[in-house]
Amino acid sequence: MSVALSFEHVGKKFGETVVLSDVDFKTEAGELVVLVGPSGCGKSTLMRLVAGLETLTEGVIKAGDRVLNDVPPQERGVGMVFQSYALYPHMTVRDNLAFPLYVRGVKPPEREAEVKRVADMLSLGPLLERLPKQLSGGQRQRVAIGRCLVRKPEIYCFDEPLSNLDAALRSQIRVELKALQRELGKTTIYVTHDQVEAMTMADRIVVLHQGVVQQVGKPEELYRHPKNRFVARFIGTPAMNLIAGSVDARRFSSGPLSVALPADGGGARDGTATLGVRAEHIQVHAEGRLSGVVMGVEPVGEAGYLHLAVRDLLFDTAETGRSSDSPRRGLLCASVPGREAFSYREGATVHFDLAEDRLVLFDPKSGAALD
Amino acid sequence: MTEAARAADAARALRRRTRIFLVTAALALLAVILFRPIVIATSPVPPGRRIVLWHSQRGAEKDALEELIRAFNVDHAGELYVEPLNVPDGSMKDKLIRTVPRGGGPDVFIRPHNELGELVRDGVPRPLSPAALPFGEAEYLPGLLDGTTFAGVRHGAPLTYKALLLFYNTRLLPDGPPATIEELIQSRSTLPSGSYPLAYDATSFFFHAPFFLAAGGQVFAASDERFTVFEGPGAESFRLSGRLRADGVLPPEPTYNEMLRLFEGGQAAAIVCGPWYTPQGTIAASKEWGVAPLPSFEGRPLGSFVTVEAAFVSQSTTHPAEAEALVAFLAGERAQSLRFERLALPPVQSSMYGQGGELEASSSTLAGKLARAERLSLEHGQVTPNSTRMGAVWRPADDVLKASSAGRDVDAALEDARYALARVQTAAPPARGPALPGVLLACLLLLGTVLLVRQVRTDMAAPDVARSRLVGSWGRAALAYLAPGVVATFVLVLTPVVVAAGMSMFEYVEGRFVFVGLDNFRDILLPPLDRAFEARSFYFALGVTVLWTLLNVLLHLTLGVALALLLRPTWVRFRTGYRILLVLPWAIPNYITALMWKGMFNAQVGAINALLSPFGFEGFAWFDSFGTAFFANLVTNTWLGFPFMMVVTLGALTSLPKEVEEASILDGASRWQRLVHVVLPHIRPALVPSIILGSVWTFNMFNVVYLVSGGEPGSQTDILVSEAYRWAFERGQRFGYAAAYSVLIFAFLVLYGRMTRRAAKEEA
Repeated sequence: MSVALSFEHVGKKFGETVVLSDVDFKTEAGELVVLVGPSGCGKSTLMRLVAGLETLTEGVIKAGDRVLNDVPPQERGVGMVFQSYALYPHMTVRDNLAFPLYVRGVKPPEREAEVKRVADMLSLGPLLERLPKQLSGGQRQRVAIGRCLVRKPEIYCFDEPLSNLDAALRSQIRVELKALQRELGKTTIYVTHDQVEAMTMADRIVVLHQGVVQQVGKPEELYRHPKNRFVARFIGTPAMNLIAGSVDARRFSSGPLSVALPADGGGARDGTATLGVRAEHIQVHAEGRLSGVVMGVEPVGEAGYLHLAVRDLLFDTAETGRSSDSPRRGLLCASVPGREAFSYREGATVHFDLAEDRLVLFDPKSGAALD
Repeated sequence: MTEAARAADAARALRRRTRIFLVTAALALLAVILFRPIVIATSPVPPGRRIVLWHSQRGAEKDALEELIRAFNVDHAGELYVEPLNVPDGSMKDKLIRTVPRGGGPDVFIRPHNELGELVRDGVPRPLSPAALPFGEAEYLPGLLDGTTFAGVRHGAPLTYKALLLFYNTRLLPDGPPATIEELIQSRSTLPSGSYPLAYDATSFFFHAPFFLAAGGQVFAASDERFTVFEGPGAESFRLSGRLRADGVLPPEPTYNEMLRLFEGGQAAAIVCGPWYTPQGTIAASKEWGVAPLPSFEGRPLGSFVTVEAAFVSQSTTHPAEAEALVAFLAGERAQSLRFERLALPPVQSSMYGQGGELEASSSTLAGKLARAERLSLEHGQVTPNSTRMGAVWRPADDVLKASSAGRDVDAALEDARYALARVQTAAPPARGPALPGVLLACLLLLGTVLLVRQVRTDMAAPDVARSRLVGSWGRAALAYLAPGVVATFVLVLTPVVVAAGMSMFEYVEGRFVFVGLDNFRDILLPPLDRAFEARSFYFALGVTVLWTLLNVLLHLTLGVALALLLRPTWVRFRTGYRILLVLPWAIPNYITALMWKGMFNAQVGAINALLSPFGFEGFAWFDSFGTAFFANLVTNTWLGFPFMMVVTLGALTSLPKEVEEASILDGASRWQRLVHVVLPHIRPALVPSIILGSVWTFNMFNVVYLVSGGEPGSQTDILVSEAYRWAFERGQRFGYAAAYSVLIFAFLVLYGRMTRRAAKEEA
């Protein structure tokens, strides 16, 4: 039995600094919700609010129907895996796993049985008599997860569990964690700054930026229909191309580019606008109506990325971290099948088209998606 | 100008400036060094031979002395002149002993007579020829010359003398001074409550002496200089202070300062004190006091130990005749009159006191009264014995009196005192041939050196050390930097240890060190069985010291850790405030703290008794029993020691990762479980070295034990290191014995260090 978490207008201030404002969403019971965003966006704080390690300044957090605001951390039924694993350094793995049961007065036979079960589940058998300092990063993480599991909590919280691991291990454990969560079937809050993890693991993603929820939804939704520029650029690799231009009579144009907007597009008004197009929706082929010069080639395996300079095409620089907001020249990122990527040379001219049914329009001032 | 030329110019200028600076500094230094010799050389020197006089007079006495010297110089202008030098009282004896036997020092010196024995033993004074005495022997008050005579040889000429007399309160005793002690005791009924008929320092043998002498006690047997102070009627007299205190005649804490406080506050009818005392306070303002001779007790008149101030000629003088002339002058009639008139110091000629004597005219003045009272005291008392062994008597006798005043078993105290004296009395172990112990010592040293070299070799071969060996120019530079530290350690740490170890095989007898091999160690470690576990024995002191260390470290730890945990949440915010509060106990020198606490535990006026008076602690004497005296020491040392543990713990706590604690909170651990399973294991590595350090410091905490309880009662609360001190400086100068004690302490601590090294290594 698992509970759904709901956040109702949750806000958190440290003194005068506002860290979270008006966070409002609900999760489904048993799903893996990923909180993602750049550093300092408040995702860890939000998770700590769930665990009870911080107190809210506004709003209500509920687990099912139970209000968690004033419940002490040990009674919330929350299990947390810390970024640094936080294992008890002077206790063996066995004692680390047994500790939550020990403090609750569970008798030794039951403790032993439970520890064995979890150790088998996570393949910790041979490591039981070791101290944390004798374990590798991956092994420590498994112990941290195991320590969580023995308590059979209702809600799991993972605080950037993969960020201390090397890349190869990361992808392997990603899969294992997702499988584990499926097996347990409990509501899980997962914090990460890596959108790849978010995309691969989440049932639903919550994108946070500067303490404000940008969008909540399934990965596909965020990918296809980002609600604003930030989400558009944050989610997906490579980042979405944002072209600055203007809309006139239901056509968007920027430099040589001119596309017709869909007939049911509501919010598009005449004036400046930003067009978002993903790399895979730029089709490079000899009959393309647009052309550009290859400035860089990135063959990354299954796909390859071409960075094209298109004359007179201007880009929206918001969300790129540069100080100036005015549109400037830039490179368009297009993706090509991997085997072809090796055949492109820098300086070559290529032709391409945009898939006109996969374009997203944004308001250049507010960043919000239009239509 | 080219760059190079400019640079060269700058370098030249710098060199010139440096040279000027160095020359100026050198000149200044030279001026400072040569200042005094130049001044001395250029000041006018009077013609004639120079006589150097050393004295310790201060104030009005010093003025009077200088006036006499000026008169002498005028009389002998052209032939002699006297150059006085004021030497502090506490260091005069040592200075004389150090300088005169080597041919230096003064020509004449003025000292109280009781040091004569030691000075003669060390070859300081020169026997006096009869010409130096200004009056015939018979003219002196009986007994005075005994003071300046040692082993039948006269060394000094008496200048004046000091004896005890009675100061009485004229309001509380309107009928005049009491003639007998019994009269004084009876006046108790007429006195207001809170006042005492008699207050004297009943814990000091010096002030108890009148009763001792009146009872017929003798310090030394006449025939063979054996100690008889705790035998016979004299020993019985020690019970008197207990009796008088129990009867309410003496105040509950009959000490010197208490006596003065009560008298000056008008709460004591009579006190016994010396002529150096002038009452202050309310009684001085109302002028309701007078002086009188000591009353009689049980039908016998009371007299006191008398101190004779005398002038001596030193062995190193090159002008003996002139020196003796000065002595005769200073002890002569003119000087006597001046001292009496100016300073109220009693003269030494008996003719002054009788009918027609000078004193008759001044019999109603204070000076006259003092002189008469002191003369009677001298008549019924005696000059303090000037034997070299007298010094060993005071402390044991004081201890018996303290026991008596406190109501403890006087017989046991007397037994203790006899034992203490017996240890002084026994001939020091005979000088031994250096053969066997010498060989033993050589073997031990060899073994020690071999082991040390082996250890150093193994350490040097360790891989990480091998890399950093001191070779080449880096090595030489490193040695240069290390040198001051090594030299300092060698001089300040190693040398005293070696010297003390060496001294432990000697004994200090009659001014010389005599080799006794391992006898000191035998005496310490194998005492007579019936005394092995009582106060003043090594094993008793060891037990007390171990108990002291254990309890202290336990308390420091518990209190320090507990407070650190309590303060942790607010630590960051009030950090500065806490640091100031914590540094205070360390910033105040710990002997001041010890004295402060001693004052707080004072039975009469201490803050502790005042605070606890609702629980019946009024007048509770903390230092009268082992448990409470030990407790007082414990409290003081804990106050001094817990901040250290607290700061160490706080430091360790800040390094505790927050996430581990949060994990334990989420795991459901209670506060207590968190403390035991997460916090304490984390701070343990920081605490172990602190505990080891703290226990070594506490083991040797001399200041607190010596100053707070003073080893009371009867040396029971003394720890090993304060026992060692007492053997050296309070029980007859047993330097070798004390050195042996310190070697044993050192050995014990080295053993302790080795045992705990393993524990400390585990944590590293």
